[in-house]
Amino acid sequence: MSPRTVSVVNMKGGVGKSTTVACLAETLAAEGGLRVLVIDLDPQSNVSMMLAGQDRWIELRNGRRTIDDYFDQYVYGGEPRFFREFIAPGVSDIAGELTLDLLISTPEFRNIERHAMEKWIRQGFDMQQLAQRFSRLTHSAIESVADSYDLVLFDCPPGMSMFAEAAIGLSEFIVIPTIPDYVSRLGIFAFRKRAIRAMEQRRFTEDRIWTLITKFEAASSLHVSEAALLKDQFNVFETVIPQTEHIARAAEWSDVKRSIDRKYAGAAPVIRRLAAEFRERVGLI
Amino acid sequence: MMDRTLSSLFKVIEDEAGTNAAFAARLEASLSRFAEDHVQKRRAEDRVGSFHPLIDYRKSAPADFAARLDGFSPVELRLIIERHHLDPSATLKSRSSKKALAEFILTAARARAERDARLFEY
Ligand SMILES: Nc1ncnc2c1ncn2[C@@H]1O[C@H](COP(=O)(O)OP(=O)(O)OP(=O)(O)O)[C@@H](O)[C@H]1O
Ligand SMILES: [Mg+2]
Repeated sequence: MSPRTVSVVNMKGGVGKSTTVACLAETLAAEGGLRVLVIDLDPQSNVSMMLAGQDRWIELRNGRRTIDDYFDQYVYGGEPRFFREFIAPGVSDIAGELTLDLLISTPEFRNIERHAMEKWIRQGFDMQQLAQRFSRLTHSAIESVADSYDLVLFDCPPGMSMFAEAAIGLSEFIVIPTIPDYVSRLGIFAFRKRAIRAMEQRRFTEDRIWTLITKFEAASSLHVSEAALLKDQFNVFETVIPQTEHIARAAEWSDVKRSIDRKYAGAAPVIRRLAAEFRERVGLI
Repeated sequence: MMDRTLSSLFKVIEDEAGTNAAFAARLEASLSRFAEDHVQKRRAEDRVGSFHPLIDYRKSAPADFAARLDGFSPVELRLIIERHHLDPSATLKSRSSKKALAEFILTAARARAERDARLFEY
């Protein structure tokens, strides 16, 4: 049984991509009993820090168990290690029995793409072949751990990178978190084309691309108006994530394990609703 | 704190109205105006809430859309314009007729639909 693969992505920054990944991963692993793997494709390392905490992150980095190190071995050569060895098992500060594993990234991840380009282009590859190569690497990496997970979540960087492209290219579903305002609407229009193409290449249809309204302010008539428009135009999650400090606070690691209710406080019910809806949408019932 | 201050203020007003007939009459007039505005505004909000000029423009035939607009009062039309930010440069005159307000919404919705369509195409 291979896992469901989902990319959480938006060209626009700061819309809640990493937060969405962390919330879904924790709730589905802790309360849904799913075995979840999170792959951080963003050099900002936000979801790595959220899910592993700084101490563990440093430890993993020193131990060369990062996504940079994984791709590094293909760019620079050297003794290859299995993808599985790079994954940090049992992350998150949520208490209880849960299978939530993580492949962290570090700020150096930024350089891999450039170095690979320099090297492989010198060897006569063109950009498209390069992208294909990253795609294949990512694909076979996921395949090598497929038996161990029910769900693989990719946290993509803002903008676009070859890795994000690869993730989109192999994901069965795409979640686009969006703040309901004008600038974000522009972001969706620009990005959806790319996402639709990625889906069509595998004969999937658009209904696998979902928009998630985030940072919603019910008292803002702008948000109300734009959210209605989004729901009318796109395939939008019924669950809307409100702007609330409970969610922003939950991002910070706690050294003492805690329950979902303790961590997400007033936002726990909406996080659970999101997880339940997501689960139904990806067909992991 | 604010609650306490307001409560004592209320008490002063009530006492005065009990003894001062002229003041009581003024108070009554003012309150009924306030209540009327309030009720009207709430009713407008309810009616306007189920209408989205940009979505409904795209979904309905031109005549139906015009008929919907025609069913709103000037207060409601203004509320629609405000809610959906249809007059970003404040070009509407404060004394526009109902017809002018409806026309304004129609124009704005059409412009927006055309702009969004191009955004998809570019
Ligand atoms: N619903 C919310 N309410 C309040 N704050 C939020 C909410 N969602 C996210 N945030 C905060 O907003 C900021 C951006 O969120 P996040 O990092 O998840 O966005 P992102 O899309 O991953 O950003 P980037 O594009 O930089 O990767 C963070 O500080 C996060 O804690
Ligand atoms: Mg992020």
